[in-house]
Amino acid sequence: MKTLLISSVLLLTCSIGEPLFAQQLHQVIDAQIVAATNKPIAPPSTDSEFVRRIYLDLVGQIPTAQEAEQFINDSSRAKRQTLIDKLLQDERYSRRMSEAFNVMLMERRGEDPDWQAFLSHSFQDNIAWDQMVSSMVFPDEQNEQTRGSAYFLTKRLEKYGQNPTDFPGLARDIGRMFLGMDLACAQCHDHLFIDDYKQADFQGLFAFINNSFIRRDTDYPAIGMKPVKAKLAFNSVFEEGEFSTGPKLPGLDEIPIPEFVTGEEFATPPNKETKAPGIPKFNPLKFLAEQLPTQANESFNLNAANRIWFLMMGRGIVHPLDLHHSDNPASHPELLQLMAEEFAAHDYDIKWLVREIALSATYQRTSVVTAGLEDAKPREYRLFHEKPMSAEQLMWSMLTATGHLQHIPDTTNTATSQTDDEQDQLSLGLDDIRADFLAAFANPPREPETEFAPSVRGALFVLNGPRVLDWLESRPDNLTAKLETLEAGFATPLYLAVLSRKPTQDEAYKFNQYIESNPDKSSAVKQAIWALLASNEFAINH
Amino acid sequence: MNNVQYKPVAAPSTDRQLFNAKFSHDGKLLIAGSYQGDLRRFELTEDEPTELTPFGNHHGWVQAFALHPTENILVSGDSWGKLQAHDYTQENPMPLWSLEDAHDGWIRSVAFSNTGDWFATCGMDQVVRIFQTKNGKLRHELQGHNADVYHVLIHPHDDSVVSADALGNIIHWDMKKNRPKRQFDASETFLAHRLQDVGGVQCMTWSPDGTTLLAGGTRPKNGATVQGIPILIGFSWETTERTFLKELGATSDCYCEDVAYHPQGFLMAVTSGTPGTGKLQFLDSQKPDSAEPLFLLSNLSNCHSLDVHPDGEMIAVTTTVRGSNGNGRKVDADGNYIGNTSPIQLLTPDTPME
Amino acid sequence: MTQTPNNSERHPLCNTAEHVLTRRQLLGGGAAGMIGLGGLGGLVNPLFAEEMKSKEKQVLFIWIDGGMSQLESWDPKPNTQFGGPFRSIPTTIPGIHVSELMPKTSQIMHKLAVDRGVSTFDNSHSAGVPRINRGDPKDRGVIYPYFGSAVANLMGPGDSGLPPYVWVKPGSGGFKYQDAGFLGPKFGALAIGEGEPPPNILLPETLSSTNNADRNTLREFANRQYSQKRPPKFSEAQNFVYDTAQALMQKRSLFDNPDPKDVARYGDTPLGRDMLIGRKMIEAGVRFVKVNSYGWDTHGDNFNAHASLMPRFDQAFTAVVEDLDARGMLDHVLVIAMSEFGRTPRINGHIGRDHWPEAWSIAMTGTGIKQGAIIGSTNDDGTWVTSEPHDIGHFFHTWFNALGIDSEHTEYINDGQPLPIADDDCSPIRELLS
Repeated sequence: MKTLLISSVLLLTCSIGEPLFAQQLHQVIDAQIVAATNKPIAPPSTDSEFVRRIYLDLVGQIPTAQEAEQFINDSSRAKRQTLIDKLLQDERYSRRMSEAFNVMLMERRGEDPDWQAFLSHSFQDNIAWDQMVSSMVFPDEQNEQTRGSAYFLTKRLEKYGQNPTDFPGLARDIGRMFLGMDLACAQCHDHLFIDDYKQADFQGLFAFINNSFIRRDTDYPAIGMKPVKAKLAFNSVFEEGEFSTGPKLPGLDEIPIPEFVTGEEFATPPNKETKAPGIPKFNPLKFLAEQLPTQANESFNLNAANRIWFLMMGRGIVHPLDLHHSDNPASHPELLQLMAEEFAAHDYDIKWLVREIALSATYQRTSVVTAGLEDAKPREYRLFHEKPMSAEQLMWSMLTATGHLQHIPDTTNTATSQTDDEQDQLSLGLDDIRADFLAAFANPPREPETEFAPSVRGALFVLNGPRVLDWLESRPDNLTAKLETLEAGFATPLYLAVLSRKPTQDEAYKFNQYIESNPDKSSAVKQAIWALLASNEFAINH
Repeated sequence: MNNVQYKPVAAPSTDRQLFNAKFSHDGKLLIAGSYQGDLRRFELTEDEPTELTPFGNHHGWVQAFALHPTENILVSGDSWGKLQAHDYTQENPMPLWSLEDAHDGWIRSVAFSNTGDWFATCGMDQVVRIFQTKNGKLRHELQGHNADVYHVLIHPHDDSVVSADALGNIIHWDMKKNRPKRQFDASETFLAHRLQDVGGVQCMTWSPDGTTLLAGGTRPKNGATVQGIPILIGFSWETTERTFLKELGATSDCYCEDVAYHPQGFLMAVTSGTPGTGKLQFLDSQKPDSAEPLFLLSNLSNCHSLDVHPDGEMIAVTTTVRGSNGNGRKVDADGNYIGNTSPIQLLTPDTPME
Repeated sequence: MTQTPNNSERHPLCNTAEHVLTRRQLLGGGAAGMIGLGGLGGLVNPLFAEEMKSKEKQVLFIWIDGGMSQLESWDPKPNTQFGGPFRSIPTTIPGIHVSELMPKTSQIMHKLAVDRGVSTFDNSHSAGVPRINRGDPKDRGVIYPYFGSAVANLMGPGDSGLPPYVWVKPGSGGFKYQDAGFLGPKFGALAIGEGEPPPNILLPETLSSTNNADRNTLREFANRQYSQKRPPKFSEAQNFVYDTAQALMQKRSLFDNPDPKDVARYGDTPLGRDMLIGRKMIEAGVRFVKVNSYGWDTHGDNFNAHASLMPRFDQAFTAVVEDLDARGMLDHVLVIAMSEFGRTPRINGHIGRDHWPEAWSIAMTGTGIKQGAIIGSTNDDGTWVTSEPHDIGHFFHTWFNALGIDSEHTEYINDGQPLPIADDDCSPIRELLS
């Protein structure tokens, strides 16, 4: 296990009374969070709270009743760390991370099998973040495993509605996703409110991609590049004069544009037969891949650490995530700085950083408000603040809770004896379910999913939608079937299956009484399951 | 003809925006309707064109006017529905006659019969009317359009009246029964988008032999800031069948605003873009839908009309200045708000290039 | 040689969501800090809140997105340089003319108030739409709510059982929380898209009403258990959407096919359809209804565009005002029709008009408004306002006062920070108030 060497600068600034030599990151996290406040801190979460939360965050779904009960009843001291390490090795970890990063990076623009393959492969093999980013901004077409990464660029170059090809939007998103800077308003002028954001920063980013295009000669996402012949000229709506820039990252030198004799621009000229576009000798994206995801690029490191922290904690240390600048200060700047440096020093190992955060007492605090915590603000991390659940988390969790998941074969496991036809049929089933959940719970395209935004549409889906109601029908081994066979004591298995905890006395009485006294037990079981599936406790990651 | 090249030689302009500049029959005058209730004239001399006294006690826009085929009579209609006749060669032309409410609202187009004894008008009230030239007396009222009638045209051989509307419906009228005789379908120039009816037939002309009717417009993509592909459709006059369809540009090129045959035999069309620039292009009249234009001039701001000088050489293209002070508050040195202008681009043949 | 970037006049990035980055900055801090807002919890004075509950005033807000031309509507300048082709016509108020494109409106002019001296500050849709909708308050580091969210918050949902802010529009429906700004998602708009009820609005036939009642009783029990020990923000928002969903299920008939006679009067157009739903929503007691028309950004072909747009607005607008009037509802319903700005007098090269916040018009009627008040003026060319210019802040004050809210002394409390509900440099326009 690597340990941290805390710099003397940090020692001077963190003033928590004891030296921090050789601490692990999760300990530093806790020390810094505690040091930043003089107000009460919440106690640790209960095992029930923790097991639900860690399953949702690491494998994207609630635990089964058995998994929850087993954990709650486990008396070993290190059981939380053991569970964290187990889930990080679970095959569902890559599914969860693929879903979470897909939402974050694509913001519901659409789905693509090659892009999914890129994400799955990346998280299965724990590919380093810098490498992933390099693949996204300069995809290697020869690598079948990773070339779907081009979708990050190509999808954003697709026209939507009546809008022209949104090159500025792509430049902006490179800034937002990889540097934590939303330079949108700096497109036309230096930013009005944010002194740190300059028009030249935006235009420099823009110059990396404004000659790119979607290739039409491939059946997978692929990006082409026209020869870049000149700098990008731009005007300010506020300042007189013509300005120009070559490709340039904020804070770095402009990349010189080489001159070629006409006809000599291409390393590989366009091929009329295959319709493959020419490959120019100078490709700014190559430079972007070299200069953006680097240890020396502080913004890159801060943004990455902040976004992974957000995934676990529900709020960025800098929040909103794409507004790193001096007027939107970090809640815990030294901590973010340290996490960023350590993340880079650990070769951008996402699993390592996720694990460290999961191990922290900060992550493992209860979300229950007790005395002294009524005024706790999310930016203080004094208790664990509720987080929204993604459409995917809701889907997998409802499938898990109702026991319907077993009726939909795991399509990621291709080693089955099914014929291709059967396989297609079944995966279609899951795709349909996913489409329904996205329609009900996902944000519209291009809206980041970072805030809690429940919708009437989602409520109606749960109230009346045929999908969830169908899963309540009795089927072999599903939750309804299991409860139907019981004579009494319905509440405990019900609560464990849906809310991953045992019921309180009041709750047990209420639900048992309802089912037992109902002449139609089968119907009563369904209403009881539904009530918990539709409850706030289920819909929120707490 | 394959090497025909034109270049702009002058661009007279007035303090008001202009419509549809036309040459007088003797070639000495250039006349256009204005955006503020009058007609403007330029005398074409060896030097720069000189503006003469404006005339016509009109209101609103004077989009519609036509010149008598043989006499110095000009009939003009304005956007408030007023119709007048003038001798346009007078120093201060006074109306020969005047009809305050010839149409209910915007008169869009006027066309003379072959003798000039009568003329046709059309407009926003969805009606086509036929008037006597000498006294402005109404002779026919043709009802059958279900939308604003944008253009009216008279056949060069038999005085057939044809009119086209905002829905892309073109009607050949039965003058005896005052009702439609035949219809030509240019409905792809129309799109209902949100609350808006977009497009319609913007211009029409005949082939010199009268066998082909040409209609121009756009294939609209959207309303509000209208965009679409400018198109020119050819119809067989005999059968009403479509003979060709020519796309004159990209979506940003928008409307085909005018079309005319050049005496040398080629076909000319102008477009006005949104947000593109306007274009003047010459097409092979034998195969107008062939891919490449014979000549393309694409730096003429937005083009709205075309006319050929009687000398068969000079052409006039009414444009409007594209650069917009748009969303800004630009004022001149005295603090006055700045209006737009419509330079009339005069072009003459350049030395052919090999 | 240099390349020219994509330099369209409208910068595609500077759109609503992005230009207001302080909104997003504070959605994190501000919205999270919002605690315990009941329907009226954001007000300083709880007594005032009680008082407001008893006043069942409502708002019908007609949003003409993209910018209606004042010269082709409320403030024609016929036969002038920029006046365009259209005539003006007399109205029921002697001496007052409107464009010939609104003949029906001309006949109800005495029922309306129009301010022709509107002068605002933003000429881009991107910033202009939210700035106008928020009343363009001074920057206090928070994102102000749109007018609908403000009214929903200040006046509460009433007892209709329906959400306080319903947005009837073409395109997608759903819950649009973005309008709410710092007030938090529950004051966002429930959008009805394309006149369609939200999906899944019908209770499944397989579920008896007893079972439905039972399951919801159990759900509410579970929610009480959970919320006892948690900060209220998430639970409240979640309860709100469930309550709203169930209220909508009860009002399914709002989406039934309209009476053909109504369709004929309102016009068989998207705006006619939505205006009719808007009227039904007002009749059903919704506090604030926004009816939205799109497609007015006529940079090209402005005059043909307005020739077909205006009569359709004219028809739907007149029909709804007449209906509300005939039902005696103008006594308690405030009706407003406006865009984010007017259009330039100058006619551009595409025979269009561009964005013009300098001199334009807003129309209104109903509760608290002086009918027949045609105020404000522009010069002969229609280029500048010659009366005292009225910014959007003045209108927010005016409308709040028309609704019985003392806009100069009522404040929001956001996370302990008192915030004026309308720009404190502006004040109500007394000539518009009855």
